[in-house]
Amino acid sequence: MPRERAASGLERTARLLDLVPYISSHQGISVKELGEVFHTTENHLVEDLTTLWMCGLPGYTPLELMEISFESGYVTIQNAQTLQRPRALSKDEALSLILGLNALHDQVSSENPTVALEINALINKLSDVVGASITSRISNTNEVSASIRSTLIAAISIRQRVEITYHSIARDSVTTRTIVPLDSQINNEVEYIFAFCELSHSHRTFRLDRILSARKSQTPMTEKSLNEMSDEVGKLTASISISSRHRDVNEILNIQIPSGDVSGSFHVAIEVFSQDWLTRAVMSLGGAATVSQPLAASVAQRASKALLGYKI
Amino acid sequence: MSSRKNERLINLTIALLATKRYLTKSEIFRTIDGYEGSSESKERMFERDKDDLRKLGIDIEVGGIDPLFDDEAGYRISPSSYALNLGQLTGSEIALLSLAAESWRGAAMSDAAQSALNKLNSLGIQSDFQSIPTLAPKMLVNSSNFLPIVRALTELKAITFDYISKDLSMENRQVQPYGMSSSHGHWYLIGHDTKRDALRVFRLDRISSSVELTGKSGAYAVPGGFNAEKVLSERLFEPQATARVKIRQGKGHTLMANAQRISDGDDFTVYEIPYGNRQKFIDSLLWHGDDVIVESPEDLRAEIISILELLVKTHA
Repeated sequence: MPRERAASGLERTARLLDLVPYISSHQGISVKELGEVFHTTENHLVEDLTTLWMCGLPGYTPLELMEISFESGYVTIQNAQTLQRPRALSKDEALSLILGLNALHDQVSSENPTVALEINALINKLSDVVGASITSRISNTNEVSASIRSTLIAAISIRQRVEITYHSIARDSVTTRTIVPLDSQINNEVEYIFAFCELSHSHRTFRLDRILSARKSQTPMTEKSLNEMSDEVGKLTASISISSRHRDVNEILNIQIPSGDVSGSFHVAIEVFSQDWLTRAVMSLGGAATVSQPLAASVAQRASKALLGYKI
Repeated sequence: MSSRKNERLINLTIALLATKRYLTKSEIFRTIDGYEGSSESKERMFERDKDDLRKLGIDIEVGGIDPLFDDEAGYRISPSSYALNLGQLTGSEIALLSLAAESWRGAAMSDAAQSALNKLNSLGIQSDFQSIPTLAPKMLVNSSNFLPIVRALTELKAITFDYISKDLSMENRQVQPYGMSSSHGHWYLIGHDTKRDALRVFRLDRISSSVELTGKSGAYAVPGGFNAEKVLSERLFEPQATARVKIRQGKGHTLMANAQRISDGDDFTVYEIPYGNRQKFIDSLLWHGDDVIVESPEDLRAEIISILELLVKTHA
C-alpha cells in the first residue's frame, strides 16, 4: 500500500520538524523521555536525531548545521534558531483542543466562572485556526457531568467509598447508596461504573449519566462489606429468539444480528446482570424479541398486569 | 520515505524559512543539499517536495516575479505563517490546554491532541495549575470515522458510507457534512443527503463502513447560521404530538421530563406528555409496564394494548 507508506513518511517529517523546538525548550531531556513524548521507540528516535544532525542552512558546514548531541543518552541542540518556534497548529490539532476545552468548560462553569471565561477566550483564539464558524458546527457541550465522573474515577485507584444518588431506570426510582467504584467501562460510547454496591451487597453496573450526585465518603469499608465484595459476580444467561429484524433489537440488547438478507428468526444467548432489566427490555421491544423460560413467565406476567390497567 | 528525502525536506524548510527574499528554483537546486540528477529529475523532486510540505500544512509562498528583469518564480515560507501563534499565553492557559488535550487519551483524536500538546510545550512556558481543576474531562468517542468526518467538515468535502437503517438493511449514503454534535453519549453527523436531497441526521455508531471522502474541497456551502446542537435537539426531541398518560405515583421518572400534570388520583397522576418519535415513545411506555396507562390518543392506546396481548401470547 504505497499511499500509507507515503503518509507514514510524512509523519516522520512532521516529527523531525517538531522535535527541534521541543528539544530546544527541553535541553538535556533523556532519549527515553523524548521517545515517550513523541510516541516512538528509542531506535527510531536515534535515527531521527541522526537525520537532523545532517540538516541546517545552505552551506552545510559546521557553522550552518544544527548541532545535536545525544551520545550520553541526553539530548541537546544548538544552532537551530530557524526551526526553534513550534509549527502552527493543524486544524485537527486545534479542533481537538477546542472540543477538550468545551468539555472542561462544562466541568468548571458552575463552580469557577473566572476559569470558564479564560476557557472561552482560548476557544476563540483557537477558532481562528479552524475557521470561525466551526464552533457552531461541531459541538459537544452539556454532556454528562464531568465533576461526578472525576470523583468516581479518582475513587477507583484507591478503592474509596463514594455516596451516590442514582436514578435506576430498571427500578424507576432514585436511591442513595454507598458504592466502591472498581472499574470504568465504555460500551457503545456510553460510560458505566462497575462497583460494589453496599446497599444491595453485590456488584452492580451504574450508568454514569444516571448518577445524579457523588460525594466521597470519609469512613472506610467494614470487614463484612470487604468479604461480600470478594464474592463472584452474579450473571444470568438468557436465551432470546428474535423474530423481527430491527436496529433497536441490536442496540437495546447490545448484540449483533448480522445485517443483510437473512430471513427467519434468529437465536441468541445473552449474559445479563439483572432480570428486571431484561424483562423490561424485552417488553419495550414490543414483540420483536421473545425470551425463553424461566424468564418468559416474568414477561407474560408483567404484560398481563399492564393489560389489567386497560380493562377497568 | 528515505532519510535522504527527509533530510532534503528539512533542509528545504530551513532554507525557505530563513531567506528574507524569494529563492528561485535554480538557487534552490544550487544551494540546498539533496537535489541531484538531471534537471528534469530535480524539477520532479522539487514538485513532490512542495506537495509534501503543503500536506504538512506548511504554506509555501510563490512570488518575487519581476517581469522587467527575471521571469523565474521564487519561493519562501513566511515565519509568521509557519509558527504557532496564539498570542501571549499564560501558565494557567497552558495548563488548561494541557487538560483539554489530556481529555482525548484513548479516544478518536488522541494523536492530534498529543501533537498539539507537544507544540504547546515547545513554547517554553511553565504551566501553572494553581487556580484550575486538575482532573481532565474524558472524551469517549473512539470511532475511527470521527476524524475523517471532522476533516470533511472543515474542508467542506462530501463523504460516502454504509449506514444501518431501522430494519437493519444497509444502504450507501452520500452526504455533505454540515456539522456534528453529541447527545447522551452518542455522536451524530448532520448533513445534506444528496440522494434524498434533504437534511438528515446519522448516529456515528450506526455507520457500518469506513467513511470515504470524495470530490473536491469547498464543494458545497453550509447554510448560514447553521448550529449543530440546535438542529440535533430539534431532530431528536422536537415534540410532534401529545399523549395523555396515567402514571403510578413515584414511578415513570423518565417520562416526566417535559410532562404537564393534569389531575391527581389515589395511585395515579394524569400527565400530558409531548413526544417526538412515536416508536421510541411506545418503547418507553412499554418499558414502564403496569406503572403507566395510556388514555389518549385512541390509536396509541390501541397499539399498546395489542402489543401487550402479543407479549402475553408469545411468552405464555
